[in-house]
Amino acid sequence: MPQQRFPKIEIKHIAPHEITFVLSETDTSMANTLRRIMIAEVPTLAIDLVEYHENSSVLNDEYIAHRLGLIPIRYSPDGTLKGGDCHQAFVPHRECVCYDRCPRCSVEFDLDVNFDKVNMSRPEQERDLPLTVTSRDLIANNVQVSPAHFLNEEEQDNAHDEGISIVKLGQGQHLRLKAIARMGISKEHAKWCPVAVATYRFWPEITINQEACNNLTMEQKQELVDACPDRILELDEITGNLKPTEGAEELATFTEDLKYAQDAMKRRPEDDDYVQVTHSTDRFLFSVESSGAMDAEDILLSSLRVLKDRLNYLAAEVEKLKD
Amino acid sequence: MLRKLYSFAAGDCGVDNADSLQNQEILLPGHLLCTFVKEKFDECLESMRKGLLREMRNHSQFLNNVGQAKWWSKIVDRYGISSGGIGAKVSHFLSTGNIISSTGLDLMQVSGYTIVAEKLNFLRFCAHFRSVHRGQFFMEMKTTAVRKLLPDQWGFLCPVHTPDGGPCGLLSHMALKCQCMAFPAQKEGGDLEDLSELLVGWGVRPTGTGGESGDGSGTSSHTDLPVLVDGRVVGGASVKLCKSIAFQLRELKVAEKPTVPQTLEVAFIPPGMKGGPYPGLFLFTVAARVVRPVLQRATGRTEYIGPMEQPFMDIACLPEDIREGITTHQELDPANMLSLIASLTPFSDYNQSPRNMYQCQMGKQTMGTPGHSLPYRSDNKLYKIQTPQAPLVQTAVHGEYKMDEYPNGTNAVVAVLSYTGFDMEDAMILNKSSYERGFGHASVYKTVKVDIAEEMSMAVNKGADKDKIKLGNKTKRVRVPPENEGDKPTVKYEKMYPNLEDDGLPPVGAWVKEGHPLYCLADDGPNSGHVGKHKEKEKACVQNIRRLNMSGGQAGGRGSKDANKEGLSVTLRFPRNPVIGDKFSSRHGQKGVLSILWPQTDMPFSESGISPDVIISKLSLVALASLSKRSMSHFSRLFELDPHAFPSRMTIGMLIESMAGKSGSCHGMFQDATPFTFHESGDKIAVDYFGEQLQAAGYNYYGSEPLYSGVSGCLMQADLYIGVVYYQRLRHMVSDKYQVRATGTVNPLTRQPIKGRKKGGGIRLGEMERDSLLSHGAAFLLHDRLLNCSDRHIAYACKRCGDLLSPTTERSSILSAGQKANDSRTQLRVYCRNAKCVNQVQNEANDDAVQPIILPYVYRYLTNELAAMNIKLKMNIE
Repeated sequence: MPQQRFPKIEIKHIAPHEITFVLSETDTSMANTLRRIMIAEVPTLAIDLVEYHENSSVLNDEYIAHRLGLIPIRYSPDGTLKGGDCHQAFVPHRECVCYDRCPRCSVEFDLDVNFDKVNMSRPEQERDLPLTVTSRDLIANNVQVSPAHFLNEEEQDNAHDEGISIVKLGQGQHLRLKAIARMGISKEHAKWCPVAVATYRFWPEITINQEACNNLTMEQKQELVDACPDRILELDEITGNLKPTEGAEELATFTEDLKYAQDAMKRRPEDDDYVQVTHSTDRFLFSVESSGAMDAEDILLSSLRVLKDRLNYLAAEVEKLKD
Repeated sequence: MLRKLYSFAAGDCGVDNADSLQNQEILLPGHLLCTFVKEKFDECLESMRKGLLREMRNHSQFLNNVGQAKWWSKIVDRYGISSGGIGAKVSHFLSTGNIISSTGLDLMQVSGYTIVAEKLNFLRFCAHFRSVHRGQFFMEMKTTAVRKLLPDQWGFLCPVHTPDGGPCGLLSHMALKCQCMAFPAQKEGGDLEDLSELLVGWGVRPTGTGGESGDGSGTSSHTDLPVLVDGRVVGGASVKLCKSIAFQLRELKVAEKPTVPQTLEVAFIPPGMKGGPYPGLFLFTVAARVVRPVLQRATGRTEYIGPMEQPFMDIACLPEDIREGITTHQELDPANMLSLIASLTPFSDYNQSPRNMYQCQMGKQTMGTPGHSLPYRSDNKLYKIQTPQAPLVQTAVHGEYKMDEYPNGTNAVVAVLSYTGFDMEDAMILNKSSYERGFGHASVYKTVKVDIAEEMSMAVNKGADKDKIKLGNKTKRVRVPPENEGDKPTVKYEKMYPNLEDDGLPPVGAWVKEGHPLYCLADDGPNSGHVGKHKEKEKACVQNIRRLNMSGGQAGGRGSKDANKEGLSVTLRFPRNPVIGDKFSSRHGQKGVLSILWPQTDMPFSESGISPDVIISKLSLVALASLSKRSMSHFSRLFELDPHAFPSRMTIGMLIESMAGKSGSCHGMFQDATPFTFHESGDKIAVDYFGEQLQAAGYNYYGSEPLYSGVSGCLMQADLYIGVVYYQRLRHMVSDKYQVRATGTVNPLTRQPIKGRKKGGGIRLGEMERDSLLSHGAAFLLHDRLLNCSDRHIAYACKRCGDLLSPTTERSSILSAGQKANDSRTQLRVYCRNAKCVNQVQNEANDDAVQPIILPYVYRYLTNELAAMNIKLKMNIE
């Protein structure tokens, strides 16, 4: 294979809900493919079908169904709060052999909140106030699956959060439904999207032409520093030279402000730039933030798996064509 | 009056302008109703008088009856409130808006006095109660003078909030702080002194009809100015005295304990303006005037002024307009000249003025929050969005009037660029994921009202049992095939209309499709009941069902047949999520239609991973012509436009809203967008203010960002403008408007397709459309549209005589009895009846000259019509 490259991933920061890493030694198309897969093709669980038994709340059926659909559903295989890749545990429901639904292709949630019943057991000061039905009222028939509330134990202990609100009930109102979650991808509907943000940007290469900079006064240098809204430049306190700030590469936004500022300082327009921020062509800074359905790390791994499966499929098809 | 006439003849004063608000007052609904009821009372009493006179003449028992209350009530019933009485007349007036009056009540029109207060959204509802119409009469007027925006209406009527088109300038709306006096100011209470006495006490020489104070005598000097109270001459006073009286009255108006009405209008028109208005001191206390508050500088209090005095006062708009020694008053707020809806437009002072007018129009068409009592309302049509938000960029009025309680739109991330071409010509691209997450989701609530009594009588006419018919479901016998062979089939009873319950109504929450029954009237008989069907094409959810007693408010219902009039009101909910072709707009008169739902992966994204909800084309936005040089350089750089370009939209307010929204969402705060707070000449211009905020949040000063193409992943070689703009969804939806026809109903006379969407009609391909097809040489298409898809017809015409009407068919006379199907001879022969042709062929044979030709059916119809007038159309057929 000509010019075979071996892309590298260097993780800058990792947490359950977000990950930033540098993808290098590959090109834009690969970086964009990874981004697109993370947004649109990583399979997750989401509520897809709702059966109403009773809904006397103020919101109508399809409104509640829409809200239920957007609740991130988490699959944690090992009984922890970790959100894992669900593709091996479930079958896409259209490919499932069952007639309607079965535990292999779907998870059932029951929700039954009756204001009048709950009201009896509420503390005095809260009694008769509107009751919020949240994602915590959803009871799954599969212990490994739950609506996402918290990313880890620590957060769960610290937070006073009661889950994602679905609807508020008043006196005499009752909501009872069965919600069926299925596996799907966000290409079909945004509720299956595991990421809040999945983006990359080109690694900036900041070059400072010290020779040219020597012609600048301190005021002009300071002006250049101030011109960057992303604060990538600073003045060295000792030498008075311009230098990139620490971590400037992660901050740089390639704004044109810097260019305009230094164009104004140049004696002739064809003079060399004092500071140049250029795009690297084979290094990408990725930032992925999870919606809560999966851990950020698993989103990345899953997207790589999807990509690999696709390429294998393509290779197999090409092989078939050869025969 | 006579002096005014002389003065006018001498050319000293000019003509009073009837179109100026100075000389106008407002006809209030209460006043109109009051005079109307008064007149009806008069009519009623008059008819009773006549009736009594007749009774006296005709009945000898009159004297015996006079003492009986029962007889009087009979008389009142018979003569006083015949034909429903006053109540029925008032309710007729209120429901139709047509005034039926014997005197005319000095009104210029007889109809159009009522409009339905639509609760489409809260803005529309508000606007109904602040609108002022000049009158139907002026609508037909050819001249535009009455529609002109005159400076007199400053602060009273909003210059922005008027529709464009027919009622432009005639239907205006009152400014925010403008009030209309419902009562004469004297009635306000308090210790008010008599104005005439006060004036005379101050040295006004009483004259002529000086009212209570004047004794009818007295003289008037020609050097004196007339002093009038409510149009009544009190006396005369010198110019100097008039001026000081006006000054003193103003002080009294705002005093702690006012001794003259607070809303007294003190119009001192000084002499010395050749051709100007007639000088004098005019005081007004009557009702139906408009007044508005301004600040009196000397006392620092709020004074109410009227439109007559305003042009002769010195009111500064802004503090820098004050000229010491001259300026006596100041505006409380420069934005007070706008109406409620106009003042909700953010940065409206940066927009081209017609755009603000469009926004006033579109704000009222927005699907928003009509109210919070939805379950209890039964309006014909209500629109509601499901995911409303408070605008990030809002004006002071927005908070003051609690508009957050009635939100009308969503804050959307808007990128201004040309992407994919789907955003050109006022279209907009919507992010598919944003749509799936709820952007613009909405529903329409329609209420169907059914008169059960009427439906019942219809059912009875069809043969239902009159005594047993009621709302209910029918049962039907269903034969169940036996499980085992040889068993007898069993019979079970099922509901005939499975989607209706036993009370003949669908359950709340059920979905009904076209043709499904909405209600059923049934008796015990073996018929299939009387059902009312869901007529709309769209499926709907039953939101609410009410059974009504409709006899309630009816007058004359005492023991009459209407007492048990039953009604039904079914509220249906139609889900209306955005589809391609639905209309959206920002708050700057920038409307656009949704052209495509674009996948999020293919949308452009910024460095921080934000992809826009909405993409609009920059050409639909921009404008430079009216900008100051400074803003012009800002925005021209942003849009890479030639600064000499002369675009037409000029909605800079939208660009600033976008910047403000973006910085507001970064810093987590609402932004103030009250018009006139930023000023081009001031120390802070809006662009700089928000630019600095953006820079503090790490963004580009002008809100532009480099964007990556979502498809290729490459950086797009331009700084692109992206920010947060409040978007409204308008009620014009494709599903209400689409029109489709392949074949369908035709007009029976011409056999051409009928028009009208409801009836499945077509859209006319008119003369101009025909011309454009002609000029393109698209003959086949033209032929297809005008003939084949319209009234194509095959007619027999005679080649020999050229006649279309004479050819006819005749059944073979020989074979008319005992025909055989396989007879080779023609059973129907075609021939021409024309005297010249009829003998040209042998008997019993087809005439070869008669041939079928294709022509539009209307042509045949025309030939017939002309034949009726003894005109023959002859065709030369080759």
